[in-house]
Amino acid sequence: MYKEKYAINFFKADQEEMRRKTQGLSRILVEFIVKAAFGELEKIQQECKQMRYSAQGYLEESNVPPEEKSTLVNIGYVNALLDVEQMYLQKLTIQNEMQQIKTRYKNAILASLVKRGTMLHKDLACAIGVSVSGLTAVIKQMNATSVPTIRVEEVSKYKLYSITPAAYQYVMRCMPGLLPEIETRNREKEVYFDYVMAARSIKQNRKTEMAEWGRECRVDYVMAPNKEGKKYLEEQTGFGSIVEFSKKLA
Amino acid sequence: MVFAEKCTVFDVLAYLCSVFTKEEERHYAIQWVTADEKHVGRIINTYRNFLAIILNASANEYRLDDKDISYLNGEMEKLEKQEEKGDVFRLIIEVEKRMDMYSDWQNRGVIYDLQPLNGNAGETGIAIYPRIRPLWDIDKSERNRERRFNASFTNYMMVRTEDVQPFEIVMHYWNDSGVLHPMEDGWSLRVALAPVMDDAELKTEERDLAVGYTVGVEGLRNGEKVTERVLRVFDQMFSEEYGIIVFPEALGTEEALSGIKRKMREQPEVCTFVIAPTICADGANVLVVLGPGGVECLRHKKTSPAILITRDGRAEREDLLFDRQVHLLITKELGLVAFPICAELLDPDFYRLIVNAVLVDTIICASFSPGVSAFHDTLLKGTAARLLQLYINTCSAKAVSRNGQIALPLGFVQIPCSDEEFQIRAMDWECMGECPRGICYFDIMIIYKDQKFHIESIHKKCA
Repeated sequence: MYKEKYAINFFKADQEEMRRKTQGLSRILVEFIVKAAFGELEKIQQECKQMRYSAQGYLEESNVPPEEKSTLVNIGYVNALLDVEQMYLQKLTIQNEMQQIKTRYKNAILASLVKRGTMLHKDLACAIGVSVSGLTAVIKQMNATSVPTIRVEEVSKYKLYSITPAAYQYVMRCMPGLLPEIETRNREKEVYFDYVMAARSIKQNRKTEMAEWGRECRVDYVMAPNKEGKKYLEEQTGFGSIVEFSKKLA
Repeated sequence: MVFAEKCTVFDVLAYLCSVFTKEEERHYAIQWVTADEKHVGRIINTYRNFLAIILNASANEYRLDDKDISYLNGEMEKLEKQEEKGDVFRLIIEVEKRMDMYSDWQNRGVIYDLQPLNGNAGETGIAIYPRIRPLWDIDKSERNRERRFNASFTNYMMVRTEDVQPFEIVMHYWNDSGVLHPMEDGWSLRVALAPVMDDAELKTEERDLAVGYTVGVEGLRNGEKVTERVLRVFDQMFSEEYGIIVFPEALGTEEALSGIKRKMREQPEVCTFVIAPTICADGANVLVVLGPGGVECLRHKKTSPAILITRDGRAEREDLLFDRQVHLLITKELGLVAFPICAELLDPDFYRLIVNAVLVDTIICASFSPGVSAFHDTLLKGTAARLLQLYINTCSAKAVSRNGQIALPLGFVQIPCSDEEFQIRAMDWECMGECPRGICYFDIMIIYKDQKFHIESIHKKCA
């Protein structure tokens, strides 16, 4: 649900307010169109249709000659259409590129990075259950798109990975289940970190059992266990997926 | 309270950067080069909430709400108590990493002026601008070895007011692409550099001012002839759809500019940038850059006067109404582009500004000079920073030369590669001193394929 008011009264609004509102309106419209959020679109249409009257009235008042007025209206119309098209294309490109990523670790990587922010190479490898050397190829696959999804930074001899804002916005839009609680504005309670801590203590208790599976898994990353770990957890807890598991823990 | 209502992530970034002096910035940048794993991990953990807020704001045009602001203010209080700034240095880099490419272009048109993105530039002395890397390999650029925030920043750059002085930056943003022609594993760029003619005569006036000798340039004596030639050359070049067309200094008139614009407006589908011949009038020397459809991207007034040595050995200064403003164009293909006018390129302060302070990627220089060796040397300086540079002089500058000869070569194209043989290409003169009196320009094709540059040039002329 959007909170901002986008309607403009052209007789009252100043230039800055007009620009801010029109920019905001075009952005949110594209967002809703991409999501096909019919309810929201209907609501915004109801809220903003008054602007047409205000705009027409303003043009009537203006002293610009009629032909020029008509040209100016068309300029505004074309510019708005092209801006909206450009934004829509950008969103679709990101969506399309993200869907093209073939690696099966895509969701696990995104989930880990959304939750942890920045991760070291070996920590990310452990979190998604691949070998340290195998991760480089996986990251290459993740970034073999025109819109990079993972930012790679080298500090000293270490590689740091973080999610790019474009990929983050894709996750927000298309995979909201991966988002930690902090993103839902429940920051005071710090639910997300609480459940990480809870998961950590559960993991500590099961450490001995997990060791039997012959895989070393860092205690911090129980939210994204490896394949065997996942199977084990499903058997033990009956939780269907990582997301469900996280929710129940939260 | 550091951050007030309605502040943005850009304000946060600028404030954090302002906490560091240049000395501290360098100190911590060196320290972080050899940071250990534990240290990195600790900082990421310590500031996870801080960074989550920044990432979250990326979906909200980087605006922060009241809750975010009060949290960040709390964090700032804690940070201020810390004596060790190493963690803050890393935090700044992590904050920038969570900021997506500049995208605030709605409802502004296709080419527009761009103010610093942060609203607190005045208080902090730090301006944040978008940074778009050029479409060539810059991995080996010396800029990656700089001990500064900008070496680690990806989508933005911070500019300190003190680094810009005595100049002032005016950024312009081109929200489109099309100058480069994509091809398999690379791109190509067609450039036309026009010396135009050898008999343009400057209308000069010697002025004996309080200090030293000056000479004022107030346009052209044979303005009509020059305008006719400029337009004729332009028509030919424009019909060949070059990506960039560059004219030299001082051969411009308002009529020529209007003629070029008129022609470009007829064909807005041609994606050509024209660096029009500069116009000397009213004490100023003005360069106009036109974008597709003849849209005026920027008007840059020359900031550094030329110093000429006359035949009798006297030094004369170009009498110029100084301007502090340096206009730059942000593009998605060539990165940040600067347009120095002749002597500006040789002015070390100006060069430091554009190359070190604001990190331009492309330099296009129009010149009217009796000598070119200093320009050649300056262009070579850009090799380490992997700059793409174009330079064009005019044969008409022989009139101000002590030996009355045309300075050769007439132009240079410097491409960002390590191979000495190809680094700088001089534009060879093929008319053997006899001006073609018709059309004269250099046709240059820059090809970038598999991370390697290749360049071809032809001197096009006809009587």
